[in-house]
Amino acid sequence: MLFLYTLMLINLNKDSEPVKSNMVKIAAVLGGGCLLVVLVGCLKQVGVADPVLLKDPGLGLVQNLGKVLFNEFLLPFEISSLLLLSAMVGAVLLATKDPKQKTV
Amino acid sequence: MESLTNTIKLVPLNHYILLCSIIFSIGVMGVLLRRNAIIIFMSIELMLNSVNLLLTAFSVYHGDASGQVFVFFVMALAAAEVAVGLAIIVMIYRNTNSVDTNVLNRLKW
Repeated sequence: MLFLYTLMLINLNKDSEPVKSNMVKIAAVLGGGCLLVVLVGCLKQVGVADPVLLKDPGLGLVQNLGKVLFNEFLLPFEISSLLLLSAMVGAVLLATKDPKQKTV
Repeated sequence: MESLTNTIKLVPLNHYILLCSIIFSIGVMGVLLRRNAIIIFMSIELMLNSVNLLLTAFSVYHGDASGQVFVFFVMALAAAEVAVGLAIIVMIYRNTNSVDTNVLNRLKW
């Protein structure tokens, strides 16, 4: 969903793509590279783990996931529904134009 | 097809973690490098999705379904974040006619 919007919006203002200075680019690549190096270095310390095997074939089935979701995680599920509702209301509030500004 | 599934069964957990850390680093670099607000959002999405991948891998590794349920919550959170964020970006675009985050440095004062 997001990527559809992104393609729509990026093609509109392709010319106005802002350019960052070389200093910032170098610093960003250095920072991101350092993060990657640290993560990989940490992983090197760990021995090789067992292969990821699906021992229980029914683990990822919708039925079993639904049972977990609606029994153990019922309260977080309801809270996330509240979150989505408030996000929708907020998005509509933010994106609609102010009627007072239109008259001016 | 049979050999493919047999090969997939041999992939150790380390490789999943490595892939996820690479994707996460790409996301971090995208946030730091790009100035277009929409592309920054895409990078944040990339970071969230790499964590999702790791959660599912660990869920299968431990044989516990809780990790996969948690992925649902991360997805819902990402959807809410994208909805509000896109609305804010549309408002910024309407006010300043650009999605350049550099315009926003006036928020400092």
